[in-house]
Amino acid sequence: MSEPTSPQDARALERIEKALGGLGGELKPPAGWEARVMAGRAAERAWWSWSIPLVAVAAAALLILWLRQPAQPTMQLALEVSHGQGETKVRGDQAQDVHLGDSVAARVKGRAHRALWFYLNDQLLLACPQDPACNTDDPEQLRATWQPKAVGKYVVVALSSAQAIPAPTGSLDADLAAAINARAELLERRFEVR
Amino acid sequence: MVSAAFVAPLMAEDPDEDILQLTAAGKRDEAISLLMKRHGEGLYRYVTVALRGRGNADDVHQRVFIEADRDLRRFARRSTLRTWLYGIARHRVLDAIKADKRHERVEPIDELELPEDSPAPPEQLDDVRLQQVLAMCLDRLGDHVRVAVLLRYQQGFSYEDMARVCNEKAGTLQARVTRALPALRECIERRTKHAV
Repeated sequence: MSEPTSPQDARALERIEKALGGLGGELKPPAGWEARVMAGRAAERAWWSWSIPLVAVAAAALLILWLRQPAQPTMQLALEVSHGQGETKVRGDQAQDVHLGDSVAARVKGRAHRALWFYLNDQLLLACPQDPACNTDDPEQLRATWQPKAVGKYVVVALSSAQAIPAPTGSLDADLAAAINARAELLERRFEVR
Repeated sequence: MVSAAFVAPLMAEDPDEDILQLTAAGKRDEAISLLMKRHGEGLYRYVTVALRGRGNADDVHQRVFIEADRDLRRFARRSTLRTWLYGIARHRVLDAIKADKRHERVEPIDELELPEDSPAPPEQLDDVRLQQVLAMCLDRLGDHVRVAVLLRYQQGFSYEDMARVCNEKAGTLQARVTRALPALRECIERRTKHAV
């Protein structure tokens, strides 16, 4: 294990360790979570009961109650890659590469203000919700679909905030720094177009 | 039949011994209620930060306790109950991340790129912004590195207990976590243009 090279390094790492200790300190499980666990337990056990008809109905009702959890404003970013025109969308481990001619669709869910920014080699290409390629019809999510026109390293940044998000200026690092300073939540995804 | 006098305890008394006694007495409802009351919030913080927008943290969190309830009678005391619980949580977190990757193309970043030596930025970052950008930089670590860093510093596990949670050697985990800290520092300073 390598030691920090200076007192300044040691202090910096100590600060990070302390900050890690407090990470998520404000987070609390949603109200009613314990009741949902109890309902989930009952639903699992009900499969093994002798009173199958009666318990199955009760279990189904409990499951429905359990699944109908109030939506939590958790930030999510999803990407889909469509290879070529007219083909079924490809997801996950099969979509290892993105090629010219493919379509990339991004969706972000989160708090009241949301944004999607696309960068090529750290320079801004597309910013949602402003750009015409963005779809703002769905109040629950912000979407964008676009075709990469050049090979290179791309970054998609999803942002979510309770207040307005500063408009990007064109440089990835500067834009992220401004968003962080404005207390926005961020998720990044990177891929390479060949 | 083995005499009780020759059966050595596998672990020193567990801080959650009361939960284990309730389970042994067949009081499963009381046992799981106490387990949730005692570890629910801490585990929620771990799952939510580890997942960071991937998958449904609420669902994973609740799933961990349902699974714990199902398996509690078979808990073999090879670790503390808390260590065992976080072992379940770590598996469910990594499963959720893997399932989420089936829906998006993600370029894994196992180690953050470290730039060539450059002068440290002069101004120091305040605590609030440090924590916020730390969460983002943590997200860029590899999944196994991130969950290890959280177990160590967010949840306060020793490397020996982490070895039981992760089913890896303590030395391996220590090396992994130690390498992650300078990488996090570099990411934070690069993103914010401030010194940590």
